[in-house]
This record gives sequence, structure tokens and C-alpha cells, in this order.
Amino acid sequence: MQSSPIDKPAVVETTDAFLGPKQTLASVTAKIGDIVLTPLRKTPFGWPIGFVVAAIGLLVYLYSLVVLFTVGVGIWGINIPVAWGFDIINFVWWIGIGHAGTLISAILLLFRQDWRTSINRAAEAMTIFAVACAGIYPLIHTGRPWLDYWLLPYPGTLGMWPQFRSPLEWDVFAVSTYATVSVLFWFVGLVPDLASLRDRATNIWVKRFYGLLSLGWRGGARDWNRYEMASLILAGLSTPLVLSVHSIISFDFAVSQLPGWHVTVFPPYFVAGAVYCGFAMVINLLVPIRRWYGLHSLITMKHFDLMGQVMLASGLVVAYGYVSEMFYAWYSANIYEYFMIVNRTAGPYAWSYWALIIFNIVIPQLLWFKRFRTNIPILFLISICINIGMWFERWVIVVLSLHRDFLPSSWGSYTPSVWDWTTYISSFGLFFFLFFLFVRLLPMISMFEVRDLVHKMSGKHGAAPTGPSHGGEA
Amino acid sequence: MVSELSDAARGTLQRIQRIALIVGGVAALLAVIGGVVSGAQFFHSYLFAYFFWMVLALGALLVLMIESVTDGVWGLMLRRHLESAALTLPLMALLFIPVIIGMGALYPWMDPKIVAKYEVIALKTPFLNQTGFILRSVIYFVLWIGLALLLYRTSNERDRTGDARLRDRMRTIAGPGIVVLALSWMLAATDWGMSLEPEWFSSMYPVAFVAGMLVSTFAFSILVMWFLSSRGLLPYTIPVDRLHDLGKFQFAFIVVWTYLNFSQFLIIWSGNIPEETFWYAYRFKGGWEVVALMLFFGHFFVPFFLLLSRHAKRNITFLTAVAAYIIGIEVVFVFWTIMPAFHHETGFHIHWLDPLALVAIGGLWLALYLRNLASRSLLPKHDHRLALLEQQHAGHGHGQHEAAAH
Repeated sequence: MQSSPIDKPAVVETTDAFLGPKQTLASVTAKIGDIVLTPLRKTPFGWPIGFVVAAIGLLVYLYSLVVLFTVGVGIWGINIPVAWGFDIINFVWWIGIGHAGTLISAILLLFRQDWRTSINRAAEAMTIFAVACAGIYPLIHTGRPWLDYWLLPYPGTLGMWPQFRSPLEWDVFAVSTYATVSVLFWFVGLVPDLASLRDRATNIWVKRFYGLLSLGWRGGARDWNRYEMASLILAGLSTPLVLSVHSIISFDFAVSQLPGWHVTVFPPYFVAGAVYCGFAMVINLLVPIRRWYGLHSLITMKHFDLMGQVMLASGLVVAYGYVSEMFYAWYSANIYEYFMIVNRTAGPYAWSYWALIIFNIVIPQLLWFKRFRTNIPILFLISICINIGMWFERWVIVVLSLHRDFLPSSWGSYTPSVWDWTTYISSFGLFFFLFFLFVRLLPMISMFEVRDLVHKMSGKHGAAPTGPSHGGEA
Repeated sequence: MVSELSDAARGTLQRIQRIALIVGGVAALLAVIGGVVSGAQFFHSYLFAYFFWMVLALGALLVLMIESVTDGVWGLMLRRHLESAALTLPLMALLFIPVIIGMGALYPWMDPKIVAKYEVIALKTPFLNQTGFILRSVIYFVLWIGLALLLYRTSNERDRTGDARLRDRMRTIAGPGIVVLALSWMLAATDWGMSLEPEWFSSMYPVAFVAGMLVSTFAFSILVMWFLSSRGLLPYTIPVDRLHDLGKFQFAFIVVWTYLNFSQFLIIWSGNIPEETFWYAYRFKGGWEVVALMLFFGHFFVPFFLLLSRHAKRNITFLTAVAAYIIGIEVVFVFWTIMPAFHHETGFHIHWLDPLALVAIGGLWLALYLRNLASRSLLPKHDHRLALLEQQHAGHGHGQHEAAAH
């Protein structure tokens, strides 16, 4: 059953199952494992091109950071009153993207949604890289990043102690916990597959590399038992993190008194927005990968259909957030809240508010229809629109609320500088650099879980399992 | 497996229905007498009781619509029960009339003197006025009853014809239906509950009630499933994995409830703007703080730790006991949300009409619910999930691989 990943078989689209026809335990392992074990020169052409482009992006990113560190945050467009600009917008945007990975890997595991098996590994990787991209922004936003360790509460001779009542401080704990648990969950989930790669590798160094990473996995009953326990515990720990991280980020805004920030419905609507653009990003990543590596039988149309449904549902929660935000601003009969409505819909940045509505609310309504959810080019475009829309959401919240608050004498405006743009756009370089490395070095689909799915779909229960099944347990 | 409701089962349900009707009727009569004696207090108690049962009825409609767009076997088991509960909405519309009669005693913005005194309330009169309130309430009920009836009819038609495409029609109704319910409930919660303290506003308020809907609907569903199965009225045995699902939902929504309510509190407390904080200030003094603490521990920690264990969610007796407790604490939550609005200066206040009104509306509500439930079989006759339920019942299929893992 050797099939090289560069063979492009005739594409058979499966719309009603999570696996294409004629998948066997061996074909699944070969298909996914060989993507990693194939020599570099036989890798699909898209990979080296993408990797080089991403590496160039990463260099631009590093250059932007060097300039920032030598000159200071004055190279950005931030000012008083708009002291939070691209750095915080991008922080919230990137960390939101990460949430879909945790949702797929943890919550869908607890809910026994078998369809997650083909996409969870890549989505978790996306989470970790997105959190890495996100975490850098607040650190460089401090202006003196070499003093960032002051954010941590440690009993030093300086007597410095962080303000525990500030959600900005909670962010430090929330994001670092989130990053830690995500990495652990991802790595634990990788161990059985790393062992498969170790066993399949022919080159001794490759064998040693995966051997080291697989922590002596033997695939015995005890190994699987412990693995199951560990992954359920980690899933249980990750689930509240999906809610807490983005809720705390919404507190960054909501606990203030600024109209447009001080909104009690922020926490759930931020979480929904995070899931929304996270799923959009998963689709944006999986569509090209599926095509390059011919994974049509593992990532089927049914996956895209379901991801489209999740986006529709979370997008509607976000839309509810916008409606209720506006309604209660009006209902409050508070002049500053009234002005927030006027300024958003007809102020100097009104274009960005309407762009938000079009990209985030109007266009994604196409997802109501199955024919759009199962049309890859259209779904891909909708996902890009959602990512743009969600970026505009953070722009509207950060800039439009800050630039005109209570006193007209303290109003101002905000224009991002060249360095704002380079630091934002080139952060994709960091993200894709890591993601391309991941695709090349690690199995991007969980082999043992898909084998388990093959086994279940074959209907032969009771035979010796090739991998554990996932009984949900909360 | 699926058969018509047996005569014995129908008899049992109808007997309880009669009891509920009598208890509800007597309580309603006593409450009306109490109303003549105590005036405004009647309407205060009534609104509290109405809110609790309304949240349950709407929760059933919401979960019914969620059931219609998803495909879980739990939904198959609950479908008839949810339809029966959602079909009490016409009764709730009828029972809304006393609220309209009592508007003057309930809503401060009805009083021209108060409107003249407080500019912020005067500014809200485009929304908060009697005509608008009644008109909007009529629209809410038309929308909600319409949705419940549409789903009910489609379900009946499917029973009759067995046409599998009708499941898609349910989905087509329920998807947009959830959107309609969310937006209309936002306005309804503002009208009926939030405007009791007309200066106050919080966009989380309706959403926190949605969590209450989910909490109380699942608690009520567990109680009903326990009752039906313990009396042997169900045409199947509840697979323990599906019971576990209900327990998980119950657990999850308890956490969601806490998350939403605590977020609202934290944001208002931290923002510390007087026009918002007073809502909590009144609920944290004069004896209400005891109720608030009771909710914090009783609506979160107690059910959280009781339901945390896997065994708790798989044991129907235990789960039922917790569900009954949750219904009780949900009543306390509605009480604490609504009642302090009438007792700003005097602090904690409870009146014998409060429980009486709860029993009165509840008796009538349950009677109609049981009548709806007894009118049809307890499982839909045609559903692609019936085979799954049968398999799990026999111990095959999904349940087994789970058992293998543990």
C-alpha cells in the first residue's frame, strides 16, 4: 500500500462521510506518515515555495522588531488618546485564531465528535503558532520588552508587584497557561504517531529523532490506558481555557468605563468571535494543504460542511453581540453611549464599521446554504472575509472607542505607520514558517485516531483495537 | 420498539394532569383572593412566578430548536417532551394578561411623576411606554407560538407520512428560529424584567436568562425522563450513555450560567459606574446578600461538585435528585433577579403569595404540559435515530466502544 504523497489520484469528493472510500489501516498510516518521511526533494512543490516566502516574512518581522527595540514604540502610529493600536488589535486577533484549535481538540473530544480526528492535529498546531504570534504583541507593546519579567509576580529586591486587579495582569496568567496546556495537549497527542514514524523511518537519524520524541512509546495496553487518561485530563483542563482566555481579553476592555468597551455581553461574544475566525483560519490552512498533499479522502467535504456550520453558529452569536451592543447603547439613554453609535456608523472611521458588518455578518450568511458550505473556493473566500471581518472588529473596538471618548478636547485620530503594517503582515511570516515546519516534520493528521475511525466505520467492533477509542468523559 | 402510548401510561399521565390542574386552580383562586387583599404584592409575586415558568417554556422551545438542527440521540429521547413543553406557550400568552393589568404596579416608567422626575427615564419613553410594551409582547408571543406550532405540526406530519425530508424542514425552521428567539428574547427580557429598574441596563441580562433557560430545561427534562422510566411508561430503557449526555449538558450549562452571571457582575463592579452598580448594590444589602451568597454557592459550587463525577451523571436516581435541586435553586435565582426591584429601600422581602403564585402558574402549566405529553406516543414514529436508540438499548453500537475504552 505504498503511495507517495505526491501522487495525485483522481479526486473523489466525499460529502456524506468523514473518510473517503477504501481506506484501510495501512493506507491511512502510509498516506499521512509518508508526507513526513518522504525525502525533501520529493515533497510537493508548494512546500519549498511557501517555506521560503514564509522565511522571508519572518526576516521582515525580525527586522521590524529590531527597529522597534532600537528606536522605541514611537515608530508606531499610537498616540494619546489612541494608546492601543495595531499591537493590541493584532494580539486579540491572533489569539482568537488559536481558539478554534482548542475547541476542536478538547471540546469536540469531550463531545465525542469523531469528525475532529482528521483536523485536530493541524488545528492544535495552528493554536500554538497563533498564540506565539499573539503573545509577542503585548510584550513589545510595553515599550521596554527587556523589563517584561516585571509582569510576573516574584519576590524580588525591587519590591515590584503587579496589579492583580487589572485584567492586563490576568492576561499574563491566562495566555501563558493557555500556551502551556496547548503545547502539552498537542505533544501528548503526538506521541503515538511519533512512535509510528520512528518505526517506519528507514534513515537511522530520522529514526533517532522520532525515537527521542516518542518517549519510549511501545503501544502496549498500559501505554494506551495512560495515554487515554492523560488526554482526557488535558481536554478537561483545556475546555475552560477556551472560555477563560478570550473572556479575560474581553475584560481588558469591558472593565473600563469607555463607551464601546464597557459592555457586559463582551465575554461570550468575544469567545464566539474567537471560535469564528479560528475556524475560518483552519479552513484557510486546510484547503491548500489538502490539495497539495491529496488528502481528499481524509479531509472530506463533510468536514468542511461541519466547519461551515460551526462558523455560521458562532458568527450569529457575534452578530447578536453587535445588535445587542447597539441596542443597549440606545436603550441606555446615555449621551456618551449614543455618541458611540453615531461615531461608529457615521464618524471618520465609519467605513471600517461598515466593512466589519459586510465582512463579518453579511457575507457569511451564505453559510446557511449547504451548496456554499461544500463549495471549496467559495468557502475559502468566505473564510478569508471572516478573518478580515474579525480583524476589523478589533480595530473598531480599539480605535473607534479610544479616539473619541468623553471630552471633545481630548479627541484624536489614529493612522497606522509603515512599521505597524510590517509588524502585522510579517507576523504571518512567523506563523507560516512554523506551520510549514510542522507540516514537514510532524504528521499533520492524527494517524492513530483516523485508524480508529477506519476501524469503527468498518463495523468490526470487538477486534483488537489499533488505537484507543475516545469515550467522552467529563 | 415504538408504539402508541399505552392506555395505562395515558391514564397515569392524565391522573397527574388532573392533580396539577386542581392544585394550580385552587392556588390561582387563593392567589386572586390574596391579590384582592394585598394589591400590588399580587403582581410582584405573579411576575416572579411568571418569569420562572416563562423561562422554562421558552427554554423548551430553544432546546427543541437546538435538537432540530443537531442530530444527537438525546434529542430523539427528549423531542416529544420538549414539544409538549413548548406548546404551553399559548397558555403563557394568556397568563401574560395579568402582567398587562398590573403594569402600573410593576413598572416605574408607567408613573408620569417618576418619568418627569428622572430625565434618563424620560429619554427612554420611546421604548418604555405602555403601547409599545403591549404591542411588542403580542409580537413576541406570535413569533414564539408560531415557531412552536410549526415544529409541532412538522413533527406530526412526519409521524403520519414518515417522509424523511420533513427532518430537513424542521432544520430549516429551527435554524432561523433560534435567531428569531434570541433577538426577540433580548427585547422581551428588557421589557419585562430589566425595565423594572428603568435606569439600569446590561447587555448580558437576556443572555444570562438564556443560560437559565438551558439549566432549567435540562433539569426539568431529567426529572421527566426519570419519572417516565421509573413508572415504566417509556417504550425503551434509557441507555446509560444517553443519560450521561443529559448529565453533561446539565453540568455544562451550570458552568455557563455561572460564567455569564459572574462576568456581568465583574464588569459592572469593576467599571463602578453608579447608574449600573445600584442594581447589584440593592441585591447585596438588606438581607438579599444572603440570597446572593446562596446563589453563588448553591447555583454553582454545589451542583458543580455533585455533577463532576462520571458516576453521578450515569446514575439516574442521583442525577434526578440533583436536577430537582437545580430547579429549586433556579427559582431562587429568578426571585433574586426580579424581587429586589420592588424592595429597594426595605431589603429582603418574601410574601406568602410568592410561593402560591409559583404553584398556581406551575399547576396550570404542568397540566397543559401533561395533556400535550399524553396526547401522542413518547417517541416520534419515524426517525433515523430510532435504530441507534434500539442498538444502544441492546448494548451495541456507540456505547460499546466507550465501554471498551474504560
